[in-house]
Amino acid sequence: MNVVVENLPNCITTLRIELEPEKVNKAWEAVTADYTRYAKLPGYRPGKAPKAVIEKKFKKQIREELEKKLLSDSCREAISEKKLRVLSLAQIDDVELADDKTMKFTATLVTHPDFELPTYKGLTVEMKSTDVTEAEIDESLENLREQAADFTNITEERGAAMDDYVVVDYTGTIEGKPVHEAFPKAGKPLSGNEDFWIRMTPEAFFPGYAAALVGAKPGETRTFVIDVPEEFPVAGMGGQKIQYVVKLKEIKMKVLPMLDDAFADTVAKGKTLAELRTMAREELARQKKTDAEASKRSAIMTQILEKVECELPVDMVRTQTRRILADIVRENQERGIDDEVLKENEQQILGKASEGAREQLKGTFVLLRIAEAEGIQVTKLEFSHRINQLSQRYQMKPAKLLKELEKRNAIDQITEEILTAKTLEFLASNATVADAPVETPAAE
Amino acid sequence: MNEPYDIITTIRLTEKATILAEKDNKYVFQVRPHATKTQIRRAIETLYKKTVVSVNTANYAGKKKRERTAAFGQQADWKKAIVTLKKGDKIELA
Repeated sequence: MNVVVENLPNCITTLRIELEPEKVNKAWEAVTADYTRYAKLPGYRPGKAPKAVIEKKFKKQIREELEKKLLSDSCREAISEKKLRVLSLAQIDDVELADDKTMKFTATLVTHPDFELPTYKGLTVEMKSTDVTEAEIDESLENLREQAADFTNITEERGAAMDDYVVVDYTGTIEGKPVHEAFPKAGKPLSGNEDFWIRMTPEAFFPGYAAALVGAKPGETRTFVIDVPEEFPVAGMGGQKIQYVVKLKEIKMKVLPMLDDAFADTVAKGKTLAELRTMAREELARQKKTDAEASKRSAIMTQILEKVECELPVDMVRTQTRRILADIVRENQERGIDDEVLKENEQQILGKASEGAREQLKGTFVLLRIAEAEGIQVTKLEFSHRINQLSQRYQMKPAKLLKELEKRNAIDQITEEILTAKTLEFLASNATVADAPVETPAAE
Repeated sequence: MNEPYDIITTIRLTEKATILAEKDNKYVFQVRPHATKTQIRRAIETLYKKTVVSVNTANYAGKKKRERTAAFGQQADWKKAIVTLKKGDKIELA
């Protein structure tokens, strides 16, 4: 087999492969023999037709079969012979089968990028301290109190003040029309709502809204005009004046529970305050440890990736960008951000996604190379463990999940995920840890 | 009507014909029912440029065929010619 390798930009490699006639002939004979055995031709019983007749009758099919058989096999052979790191076989073309049974074809492959592996062992990374301070425990307990806070109506006879919580019914109009009719994109809540809770802060709802309610007593109705800020996201609404008619129904204040054993019992049944503190300490310690481990790994990756410069396969970057983009869009939609806003920032989001995709891919390639250099491999046990995990997550039987994954060609991807995680683990265990200065967080 | 391509209808590719060709250098053709041995010989010699040693013929009556309706029909009558070639001469089957 004669193989000529040509490297093209963007991680594409073409192989010009020429097969010897003996090899092609052998395969041809094998395929023809198969046809001879089963082909039904008028005038002959199956298996009795002469080779020449079969070859003439089924020439096209035999050729197709031969190509199917020889092309992928010889491609694989050429790849292992030339020791190429292949991601995928993009296409095979220019197949020529001469009468003397020599066969030539060009295979286009997408290969792993080529780069020099930087030093990856014994890296020094800074790590935040995982000690839990008393102040942090206090803060976490305070958060728990905030979450368990109760809202009660105020008892004294007074109007609403800043920092109170008020319950209001309101209607908003622009020149007599409900806001959402004047600006369809504005959303109905701007036009009116009932039993709406507002915390009285200067910026709540619209700047000036809460201020206009200061001093109002329950049952009182106030009418006031709000200037919509210029930077308001709905196009054209900036600078408009909205007239709000607000009926204040209740004034409430936030009552935090006392920090005592009874409170501890409501948070975790049967625990005292001291025990709750211990639980909080453990939880914080666990969180900090996980965070520190994660930032250690990301610091290692940043250090390695800084030293690696390589081209990336365009198609993969594109696919990955699309995936990240879909994630970003979904995340934002879940957070209730309007599609319009997303569209306006399209370029920025796209840039971010593409950069993220490049980093991720580069990281994967580097980790795979390290795994290769260190002989790190995925064991069957690890694979089945992962499959078990996934089957629990998707609530499918492992065998069925495996079948599904095979159908989607995702087995390799899962193996790759395990391998990269394992390699990262290896890097982390080989890195030296230096304490980070308290104020500056470890390199992200 | 007596051109070579009118005389020879087709070469018969069957197991029997293949065996005859391989063993005895005899080739089987389907020919026009009224063709004579001389015409067949001349036709083969012109078409394939081979030397014919002998020609044997046999007439076959077309099979009676009927559909499920009462309409009767018949396949055409035909003649088979077994042509022996000079030793060393060959016709490519297929």
